Amino acid sequence: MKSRAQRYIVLQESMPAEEEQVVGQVVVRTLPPVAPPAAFVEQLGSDLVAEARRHYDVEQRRHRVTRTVGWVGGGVLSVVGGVALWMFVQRKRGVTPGVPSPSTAVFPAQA
Amino acid sequence: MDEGEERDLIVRAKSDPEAFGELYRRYVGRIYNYHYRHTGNPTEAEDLTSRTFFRALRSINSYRDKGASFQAWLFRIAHNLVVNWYRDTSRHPSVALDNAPPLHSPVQAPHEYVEAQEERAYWLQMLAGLPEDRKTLLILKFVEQMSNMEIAAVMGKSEGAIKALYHRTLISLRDMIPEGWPDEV
Repeated sequence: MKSRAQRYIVLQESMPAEEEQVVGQVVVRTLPPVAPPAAFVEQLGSDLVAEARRHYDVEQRRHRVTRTVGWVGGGVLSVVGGVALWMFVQRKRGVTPGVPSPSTAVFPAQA
Repeated sequence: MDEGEERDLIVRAKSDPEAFGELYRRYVGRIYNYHYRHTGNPTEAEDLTSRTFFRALRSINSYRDKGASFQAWLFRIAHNLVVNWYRDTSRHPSVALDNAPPLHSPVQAPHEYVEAQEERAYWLQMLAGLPEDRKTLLILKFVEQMSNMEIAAVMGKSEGAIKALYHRTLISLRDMIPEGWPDEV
């Protein structure tokens, strides 16, 4: 009886290259290429090109809309952000927006 | 067409319908053949072929030339449709011999032709009985001449898993080959 160390597990049975070639020949001989009918190829080709045209038009329109929304949205956000920043800075300085600050207020001269 | 030209064509096909049409003409025969070999039915093969290309058109913008080739990407779409077809129909595919091209040459004698047909019918039956993944592997390896890496990309498996599956498939096919083949069957 073999010791534990001498026992081998065969993971894969090897296959000579010639046999592999024979199997390949069997498959190639059994499954020769089958060409699609010419009318089908022609019809599908024109359907695909027409669909591609529609598809790309829709894509381009979507890109245009996205870009426009991006520009407009970006512009609005910039203005809102600018105003918010200005208000924040004013508040930090202790100035209430819209009301003249005490340092710049003009008091009427006392009679 | 070399690789560089094909790469240019793929880039153009993302925005140019004519370039997509050119890509289609390049691959339609192979994709049809792949579907036909699985379904054994010209009508089903045509349906799956058109679905493959329409799906490719919808997602060509997501194709990036990183690692997997375009043919592997396209065959992956075809493969996913075939897998769904097997699942949905639960049919046992077989190749329609009537629609297969004749194998005999003009100089082949009638008895040789009959023998060749019998031999082919035997192998068609054997191959049709294989599980879907083994059949796919054989078609991609021997008919489409793809590398293990490309087959792995198509089938969504690791290269090691493909090697193991290939080996198991070859062993099982070898056991089916009668002794003395191809001289006597």
